[in-house]
Amino acid sequence: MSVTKFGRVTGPPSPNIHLGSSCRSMVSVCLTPSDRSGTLAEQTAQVLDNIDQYLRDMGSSRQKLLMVQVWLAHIDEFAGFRDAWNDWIDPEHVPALSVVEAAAARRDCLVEIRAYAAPGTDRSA
Amino acid sequence: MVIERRHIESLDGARKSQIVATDELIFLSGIHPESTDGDVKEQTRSALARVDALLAELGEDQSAILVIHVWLKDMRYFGAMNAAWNEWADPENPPARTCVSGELYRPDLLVEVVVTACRTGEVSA
Repeated sequence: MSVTKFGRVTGPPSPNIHLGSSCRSMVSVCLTPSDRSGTLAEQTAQVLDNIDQYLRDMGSSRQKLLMVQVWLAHIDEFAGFRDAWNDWIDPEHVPALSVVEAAAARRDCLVEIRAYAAPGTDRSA
Repeated sequence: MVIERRHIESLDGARKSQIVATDELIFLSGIHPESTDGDVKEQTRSALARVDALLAELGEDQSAILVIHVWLKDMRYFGAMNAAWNEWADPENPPARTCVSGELYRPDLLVEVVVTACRTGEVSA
C-alpha cells in the first residue's frame, strides 16, 4: 500500500515534516494556526479552513471526515472551539471528535487539530 | 467509499458522531464514562464498557481494535486505570494502547478513550 505525503515543511527553525499523508484507506492532516494573533475561535476557524484546503488538494473533502482530534491549550476555552467547529462541519456529515487539553510547541498556539478523512477516489481497481 | 455515521451527539454543544465507519475502518469519538461519580477505576470500567457496546453495534469486539488511546486527567491514575484495563482486555489478545495525560473538557472527568478499529466482518450494503 503506497503512502502519499503532502504539505512539506522544512527547517530549521521548523521541524522537517509533512503536514499530511494519505493511503488508500485514509487521508490524514495535522495543523496548527499560522496566524496566532487571534482568539481560540479565530485560530480554530483558520486551522479548519486550512484543513479544508488540504483535504480538497488530496481529493477528499469536509464531507468525508472520519475522525478529528483536537488539542486545546486551555480546555476552559472550549466554547470558542465549539462555535468555530459547529460553523464549519457539514451537519449531514459529522465526524467523530475528541477534544483534550495539551500544550502545543508554541505557547501562543491555542489549538492543534488532526483530521482523518476518507480518500476521494474509489479504490475498486 | 461509503461512510456510516451513528449517534450524532453533542460534546457540550459541539456536534460529533459517536461512531464513524468505512468498509475498512472504525472511529469512535472520545468516549467518557456514563457517570463521573466514580473513581478513575470505575470511570475507566464504564468507558471501556461503552467501547464494547459501540463496537458490538457494528458486529465487532475489542479484537478489532487497531489502537486505543487513553487520556488520563492525571498520570497518577495510571495504576488504577490499568486495574480496570486488565479486567477488560483479552489476556490472550490485548489491544495496542497509548496513554498520556491531558486535561479533559469537564473537570470531574478522569478518563477518555479514543478508539480506532478495523472492520473484520462483512459490511452490509
